[in-house]
Amino acid sequence: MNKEIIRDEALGEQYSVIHHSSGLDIYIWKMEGYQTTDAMFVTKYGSFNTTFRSAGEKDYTTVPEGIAHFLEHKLFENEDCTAIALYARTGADANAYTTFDHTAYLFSCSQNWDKSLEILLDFVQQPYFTQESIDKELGIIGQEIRMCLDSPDRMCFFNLLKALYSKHPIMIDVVGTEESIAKITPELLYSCYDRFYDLNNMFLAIAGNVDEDKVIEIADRLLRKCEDRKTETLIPEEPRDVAQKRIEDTFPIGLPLFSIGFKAPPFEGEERVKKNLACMVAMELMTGNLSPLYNSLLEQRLVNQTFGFDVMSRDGIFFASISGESTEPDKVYELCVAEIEKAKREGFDERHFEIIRKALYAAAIRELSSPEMVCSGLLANSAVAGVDAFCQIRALRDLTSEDCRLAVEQLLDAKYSAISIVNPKQ
Amino acid sequence: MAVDFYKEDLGGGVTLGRVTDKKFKCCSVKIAFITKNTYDATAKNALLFSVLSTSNAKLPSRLALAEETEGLYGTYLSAFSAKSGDMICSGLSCAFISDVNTIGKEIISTKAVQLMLDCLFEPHLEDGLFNEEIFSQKQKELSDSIAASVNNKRAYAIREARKVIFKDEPAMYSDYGSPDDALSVTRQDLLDYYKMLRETAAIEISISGDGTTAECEALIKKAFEPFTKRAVAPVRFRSNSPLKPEPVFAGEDARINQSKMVMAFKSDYEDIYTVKLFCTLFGTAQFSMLFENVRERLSLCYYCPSVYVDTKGTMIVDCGVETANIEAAKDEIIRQLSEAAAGAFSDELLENSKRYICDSFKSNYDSPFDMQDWYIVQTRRGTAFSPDEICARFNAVTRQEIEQCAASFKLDTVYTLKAVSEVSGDE
Repeated sequence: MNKEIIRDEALGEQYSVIHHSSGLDIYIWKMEGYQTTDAMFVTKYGSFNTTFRSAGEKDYTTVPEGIAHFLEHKLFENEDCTAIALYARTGADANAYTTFDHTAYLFSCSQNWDKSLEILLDFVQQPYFTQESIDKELGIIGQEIRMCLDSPDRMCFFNLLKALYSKHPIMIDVVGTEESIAKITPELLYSCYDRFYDLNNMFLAIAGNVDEDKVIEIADRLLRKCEDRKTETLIPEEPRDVAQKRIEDTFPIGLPLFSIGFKAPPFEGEERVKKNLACMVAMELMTGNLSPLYNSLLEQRLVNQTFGFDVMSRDGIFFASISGESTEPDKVYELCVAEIEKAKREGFDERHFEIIRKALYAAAIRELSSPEMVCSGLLANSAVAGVDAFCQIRALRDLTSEDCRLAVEQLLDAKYSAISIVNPKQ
Repeated sequence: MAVDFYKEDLGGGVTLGRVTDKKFKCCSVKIAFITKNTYDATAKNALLFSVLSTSNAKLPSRLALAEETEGLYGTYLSAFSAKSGDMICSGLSCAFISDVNTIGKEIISTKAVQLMLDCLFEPHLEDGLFNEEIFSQKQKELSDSIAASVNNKRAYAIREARKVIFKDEPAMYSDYGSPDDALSVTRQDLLDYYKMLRETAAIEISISGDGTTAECEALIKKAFEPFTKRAVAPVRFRSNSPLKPEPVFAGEDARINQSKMVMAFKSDYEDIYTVKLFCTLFGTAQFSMLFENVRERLSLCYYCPSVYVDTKGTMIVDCGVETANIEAAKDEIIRQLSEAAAGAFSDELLENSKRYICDSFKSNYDSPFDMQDWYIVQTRRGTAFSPDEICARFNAVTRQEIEQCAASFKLDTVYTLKAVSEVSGDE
């Protein structure tokens, strides 16, 4: 076991990284004066890890869509009881979720954090899958899938992914389909568990009211040393071209929804964080609260307060999106593209750039006030992007408006864009 | 705990509460105008504060005000409008990082609060009316937002159910009214409403932060000094909803994939903290009777939590359920309530519920926003209990009290939004 201290002098904040002998990296961020403790036990395994192989295997294995999410549900119960029943004895609020590229088990509490941590580490390391319990879970997840089908926002977003990507498994819905999950067996669950719930592929973050020595003592006692399976996921090479320029669908809604995506090449590590940040700031400058475009769209009644943007970067993925409600989504698309071209030619107003930079700095400060947000920040930076938790704020200090203009030039091209529209069903 | 709470009655129906904890890195100021909810008031309330938060006489455009707030380290100035029982509380809130956390230790707190006060008291008027451009923009936004609210089927079902649950009571009206209500308000209507609120509404001011907001408080007190001489009747937030003579069954069909069912149970049980504990045990906690039996054991619902509306003495259970399971789920939820009243729950469940709710309440201590909301609610109840004090009360509740509390709840309403099959050939 060895330990690093990661510190940002300007912020006066620091956290510890313990490289535990079991293979697990443990991130501990003690926050003085806080009563709450938040913890996340995370595996870098999500909905797009459907085709993979471990060290020594020649062939890739493909598993049913939605299996990572199914596994998350099933891991919440062991042979004797559910994790919820165990947490009930400590008072913690516990939950779990699955995303495209990771699955997280978490708790938040204001008392008995050490006992809750013991429960977390214990149940995630004790899989128990039977056909009977899988059959029961099919009903519950089937209901979750049908609930998801009732979300027009989700429909609009996943249609955008299908429009943007032709090969990358990001377009697979996290929950899968009723048909795909029906193919799940105990053997498949154990196979996925063994490959991805390898502690070398996992990460523990704990923040707030926490004692480092106690965390290490619990980890020493409960973590079982893992052989590094070195499981790799097959991510097919994705062309920059979009799969479809446009997808339209219908749903019983009040106003049409739209989501416009600009597909860009993917990045890794610190470069990903820097490009992500530059793109975020550029999007804020072009479409945010202070932008002439947003003002004009509002004045023309083309959008309302749901108008917003996002930048998503994952392994093999980078795209920026603009979403909202509009009776004229194609007109909004045209105006957004025109604004992007203008930014490429003229760059950004320095004063607005500085305002946005200060606002983002304040947002980072606010995140440091919440154990939950600190934990999420550790996850997003350290586990997903592979950088330290202060990387983004350092990048923010160094960012220039020219970096943002270059990001627009490099990442936002109408040729590689698509639009998803959900129209009201009469 | 390091959290300190101070409350002051400024007179004229104006109260000020201050929450302080040195560890907080941000501050929050909320100013609420409180009146009885009426059908006529909902759209006006939402529209008024939306207009007021968009510009003011000194910064007479959305962009000008946005530049100023963003320049103050992304200060978040926003409007809110939400029901509390039969009352509606609307106003402006302002959140900013503490001066000490700015890059150059700049003073932004007083500037942020002054902006908020300018929006409230120096609105952007033209010819004695709200600026037409901003008014019509906000009116369209509100109308769109109400129209789009149908997209969230769970929230839609609860909103429609409340119209039946609280029929003929002020609490039946939604927070925002209908799209047509929003579009029918005129600039003169809104100005009249603004004046009426200033003259008659109770005003609730709340400041939460690291204790360095004395100058902000002084600014606010000075701005509200003229209001302290008004004659405003005290506000009562708690007004239990009467139980219907027979349960009412209502609902509609919808082209959705999962049906929604909302059940309301009413009670006049006096001690709201006993009810909150019972509600946690019954359906709020992840290990509650409803979760364990209705979802996990019988797989009748995907979700079925219970929520207690203490101002109306009403417990609402909302479910995501297969159409074929609606009747069985309804019967099982009613049966579980009878089981609770008969004491068919373990001591362990009761102790776990106490632990769970105490843990949840104490977690408020770490957020300036949560502690602010905590003491706003306490003030509305006429109390000033800390989370620790409430937890002591929870821990003293007995099994017999929980049983009596459960027995006091009677079924009042069942509302279903039933998923129906697609009509073929309609596309």
